[in-house]
Amino acid sequence: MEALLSARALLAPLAFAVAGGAAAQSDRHEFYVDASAVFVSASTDLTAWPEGGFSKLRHTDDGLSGLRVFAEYHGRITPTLRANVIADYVDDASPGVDVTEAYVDWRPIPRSRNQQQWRFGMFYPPLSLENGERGWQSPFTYSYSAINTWLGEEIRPVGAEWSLRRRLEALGNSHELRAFAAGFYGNDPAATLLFYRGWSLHDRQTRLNDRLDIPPMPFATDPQRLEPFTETDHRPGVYGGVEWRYARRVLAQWARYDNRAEPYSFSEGQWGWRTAFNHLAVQVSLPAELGLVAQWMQGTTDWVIAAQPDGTLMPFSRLVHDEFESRFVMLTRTFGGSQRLAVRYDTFSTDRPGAVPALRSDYGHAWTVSYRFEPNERWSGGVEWLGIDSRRDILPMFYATAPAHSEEQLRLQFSFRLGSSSR
Amino acid sequence: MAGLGPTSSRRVWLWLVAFAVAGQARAATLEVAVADGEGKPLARVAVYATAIGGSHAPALAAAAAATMDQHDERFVPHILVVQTGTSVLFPNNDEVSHHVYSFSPTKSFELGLYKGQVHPPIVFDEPGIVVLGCNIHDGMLGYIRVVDTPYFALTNEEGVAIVEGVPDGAYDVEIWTPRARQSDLPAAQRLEIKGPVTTIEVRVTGRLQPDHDHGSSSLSWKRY
Repeated sequence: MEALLSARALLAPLAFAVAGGAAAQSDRHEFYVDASAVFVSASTDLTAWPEGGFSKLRHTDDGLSGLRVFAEYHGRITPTLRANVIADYVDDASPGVDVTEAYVDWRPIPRSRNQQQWRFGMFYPPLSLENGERGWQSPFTYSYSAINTWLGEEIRPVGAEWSLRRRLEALGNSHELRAFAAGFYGNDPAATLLFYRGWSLHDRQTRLNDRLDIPPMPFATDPQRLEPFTETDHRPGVYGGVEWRYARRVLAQWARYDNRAEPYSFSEGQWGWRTAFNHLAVQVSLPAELGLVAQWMQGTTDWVIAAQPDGTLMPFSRLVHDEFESRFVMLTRTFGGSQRLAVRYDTFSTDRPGAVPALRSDYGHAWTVSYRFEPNERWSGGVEWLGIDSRRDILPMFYATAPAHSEEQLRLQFSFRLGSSSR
Repeated sequence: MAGLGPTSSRRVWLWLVAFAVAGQARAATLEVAVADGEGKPLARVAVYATAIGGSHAPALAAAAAATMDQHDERFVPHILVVQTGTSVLFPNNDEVSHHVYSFSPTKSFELGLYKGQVHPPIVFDEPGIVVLGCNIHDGMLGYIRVVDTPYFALTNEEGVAIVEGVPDGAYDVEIWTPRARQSDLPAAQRLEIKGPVTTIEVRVTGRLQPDHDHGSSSLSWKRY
């Protein structure tokens, strides 16, 4: 049981073995590599969060903030079974090469209007409307919305997902309904980063074996390192949702996620946080190459305050109930297919109802404006301005920092892509 | 293929038709203007004329061939009209593999994951509607409309379908688009086609669904 559940350790080699097997028995595989250089000019008096600070920015130092590389591999095992591995190189937080997603997807050939799909492994739940590009990148902005940033940080189920899609033929196949459901392990500490550091907007996706520095807890005996995909209690989590599409005009999705973690459970230096949320996502194609994307997330988490990283509790430790919420709306426009402008407005909050002072509260809003140019399939570049205003009342009480912060970041990025694929 | 623009196969067709009807009838051009209830022209509507009895009825195409391409994760054309008995190739000109299938009663088939032109053509031997999908790319949707006549065309951006080389005679002229409820499509219009040009107008009343491949592309629709 223990071996079965330490899926995190097993998953990457397994995925690579499956992928390798696929590559060996046939030459039907596809590779894709993306390398980017990122230049940043930031204005904040907080430390970047990957260094354990409270800043909502990933980069707070000016200049070349490093090279980013990710690679995608898709290997065909049978005509309907594919192995997918997405690996990422980063130079901050827990640096090096690691896997962001590794799964097998099975799409049996439809025999009726119902089309099924299964995914097994480690993957993102299909919630984000921003991160539809390879490597879970966004075609709109370099820094993701607060909601999708958090999904990239702390949500990565390891399990099985089933989805069923049906086109409504009587309506010219324009309407499409989909339902999906999944059971998973891992993700038990989800929301730890959200409550210790607060919401954030960036593009760093947590990888399988990442250990993230989080801001020190007020009563901690040791620094806490977060491994968000840990399974602490061997209770599987669930998510599910329904989606409606109207041609390439409208998409609306409702989903619910619940990691079903036991708050007092502890394993491998990680505490369980019982985190559940509802999520609503809508996108609409508008005339004149305009598009509108909006997501809304509202959730709760039950966790134990002053639970120590060594697994012990402080005398005053107790279970608390916190709430979190975020929403964004984004307007985007393409110009002739090679240029894109996107403007997004995010609001976010974490709160403990009834608590005085609201020590865990983190609330604010952010504007993101991005312009991208993609002259061809190999090269792309862009510039993005991100401004975040936020307030946390805990900062002056424990960390000798002002409660309110206005952070800004100007980011310039050049990307080179290589898609080698052979049949 | 006949009716789908100035291709060489159409020229072959015209010759065949010309021989078949030589000395019996003159060839006419049928022009059909299709518009919605408000009079706005409708592009990509299939128009086909079926001969009613008589000696001008054409023989079945012997070696007719057509192509349903895949490009930019779309079926090109979105709607392909062919005569019953036509062989259709499904080349994939994308960098990624496709897995084309149909579960339509008219023709149910599957072309296993592939790139380029690896699968032999598929013969569409029954009239009807074939809905195409890709098992990898959920957003891909295409149609093959199989008709029992060589006289067909798709409407252009101005909503006009031009069917050339139609021997004079009596025909049932029908239109088809996946965008309308099948019950909303107008009934076959019986008419006497006569050279040089016979022109008619057809209205599609009732609610129309959006044109699948011709919406805004500013958003990302691939998610699974």
